[in-house]
Amino acid sequence: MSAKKRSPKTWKFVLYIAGGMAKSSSAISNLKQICNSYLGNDYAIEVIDLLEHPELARQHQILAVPTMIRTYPLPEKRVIGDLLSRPESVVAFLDLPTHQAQTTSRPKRPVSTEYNKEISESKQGYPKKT
Amino acid sequence: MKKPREISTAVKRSKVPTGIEGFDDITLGGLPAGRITLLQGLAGSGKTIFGLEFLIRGVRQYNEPGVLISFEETEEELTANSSSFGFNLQELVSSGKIAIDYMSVNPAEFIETERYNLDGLLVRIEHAVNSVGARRILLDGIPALFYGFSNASAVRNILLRLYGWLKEKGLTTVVTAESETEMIRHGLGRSLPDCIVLLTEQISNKFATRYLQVAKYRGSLHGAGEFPFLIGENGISLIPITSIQPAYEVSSERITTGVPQLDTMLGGQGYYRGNSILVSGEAGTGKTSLAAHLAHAICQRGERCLYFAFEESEHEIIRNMCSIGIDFQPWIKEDLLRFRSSRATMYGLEMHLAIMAREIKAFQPQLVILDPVTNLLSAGSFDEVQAMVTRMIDFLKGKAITGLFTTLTGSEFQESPGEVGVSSLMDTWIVLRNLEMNGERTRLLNIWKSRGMAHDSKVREFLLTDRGVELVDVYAGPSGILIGTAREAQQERNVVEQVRRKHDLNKQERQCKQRRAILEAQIASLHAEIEATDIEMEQTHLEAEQFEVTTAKMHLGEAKQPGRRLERQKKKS
Repeated sequence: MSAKKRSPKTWKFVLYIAGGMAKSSSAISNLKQICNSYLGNDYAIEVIDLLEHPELARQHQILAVPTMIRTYPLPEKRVIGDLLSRPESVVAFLDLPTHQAQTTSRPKRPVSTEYNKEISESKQGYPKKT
Repeated sequence: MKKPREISTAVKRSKVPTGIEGFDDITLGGLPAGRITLLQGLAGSGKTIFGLEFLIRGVRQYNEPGVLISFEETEEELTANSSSFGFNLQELVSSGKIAIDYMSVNPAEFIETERYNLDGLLVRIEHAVNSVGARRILLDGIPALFYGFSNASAVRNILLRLYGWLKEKGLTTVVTAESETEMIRHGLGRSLPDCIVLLTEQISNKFATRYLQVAKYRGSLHGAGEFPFLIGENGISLIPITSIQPAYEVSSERITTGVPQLDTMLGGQGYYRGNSILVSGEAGTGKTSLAAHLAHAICQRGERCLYFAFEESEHEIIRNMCSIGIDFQPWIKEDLLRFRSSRATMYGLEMHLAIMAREIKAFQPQLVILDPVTNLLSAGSFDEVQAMVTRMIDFLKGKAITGLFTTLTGSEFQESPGEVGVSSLMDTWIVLRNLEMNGERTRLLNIWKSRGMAHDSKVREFLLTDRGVELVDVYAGPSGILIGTAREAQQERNVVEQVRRKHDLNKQERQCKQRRAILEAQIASLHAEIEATDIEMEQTHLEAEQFEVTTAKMHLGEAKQPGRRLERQKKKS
């Protein structure tokens, strides 16, 4: 839905959702949150609704929604789910540049109040995986 | 774990033919239309091939487009696999008759966070179905989803939605799974599918045989039991040897045995068409020769014969039969006669049976020969062979094909169980025996039984000459039964005796004639004598008369004068 034109070094993410579900929208906001924390402004997010483009699901091998694909830098990396429950592993998996966060002494969890609210919600609804 | 709800059963129960050889027969029409069929079997049991055939034949034979959802094999792999069974999957895909979607579920390709669902699956399937207007769908390897995604409830949830959607859309669905426990563990128990087909592979006597079983078919009759099947160059072929309806029409037509004397023994007309004939005998008693005669006779009628040889090769049989004056070459050239030689140990019994049934279906012969059945004992136990022969007989009778089976009996096996075992199934049983006597071996033939026809129960001597089989009456005389050389010697003695008798008779006749001639001569002389006597007697009579006359005249002369005077006086007066 939103794709900001940036420099060639811009990180690119595509988020596949199916319909305007709560999970999808929280995934969008979570992704934005993470990107803001680690990439500053140097990222672009494209959101694709599979209900509108079902052929893309096959083309990009999407089964789970939401699925987030890091399309740049290569190689492609995929994360499914709301990106919320395992932030450290998501960050590590996506090879996000941690030096930026380190300079601002990155906390264990993102600090955004919105984000924390989500966490507490998720803790209630979805017991954390061990 | 909740049981999935049954969707309304208001949908009309009808069947969708799979086009798979034999399967539609045992299910009396195919898979439940618009319903879900679970195809269950271990890796390599033929699930994917079954599913592929269901789709491809659906397009080819019934003009029903299909969708293939694969969780294990990619489109390239599926295309390659199907081409080895003669299916051009690629062509059907590019012509828009089949849509393939390979769903990659490799957990190494992504990481999971929480709160996701698998709606993408449904989106993709719906898209594929709509893109070709599918009526059939194959879901191959669904359990991979459970290994790909750690959130099992998300998988179960999407599958239940998927099945509900498929039923609602009325798509005839085939789902594959490795085992039932796997499906139950995933919340897709026995109650979900309307039909469960099990594919198994069993190894007995070191031979693997594939079996198909319809374990469940809601609201329909179906063939029970395990049916062996083959995966060949034309895909799956299932041979429902044990027919569901065992009724078959019987023929009263008779066919010659190829041996005129044997025809005579069998009520003068030979075998019944469609009967099963057993020829049992020891090694070298002429079983194959007798079978060859029948084959030859059938081909002469312009009918077809399929000869399964388990002992000799085609060329051996052809050469050997030439020596008794039977030339098979022209029949082979005209394709009236086909040989199928195989070693009994090549496959398991079921495989043998399935292959034979397939050959029979393809060639449509009027006569099938199995020579010798007992060789199959090396591929299975006695009971199994017996069961196999029973089913073969059933199969042949169902098609009104005459079957000739030979069994080897003899000293190398002790008492021959094979013979006794299958003989009760046979309509006609011809027993060939070797008899060793007076330093020679003689072949004997006897019709042990022949249902529904008058037959000669006398033992005949069975000769193999360069003009074929000949049956000779054995000599039953005052000194007992004589066969072989003894019979020949007796026959010779008989001839000499006959000549001698004839000679004697001639002599006697001559003597009689002579005597008669003498007697006749005697009679003639006696007649002459009688005549002479008669003449003599006549003479005597004559003489006596003359004498009388003379004397009378003399008396008359004395008395004459007075008489004359009187006469004269009378005249004067």
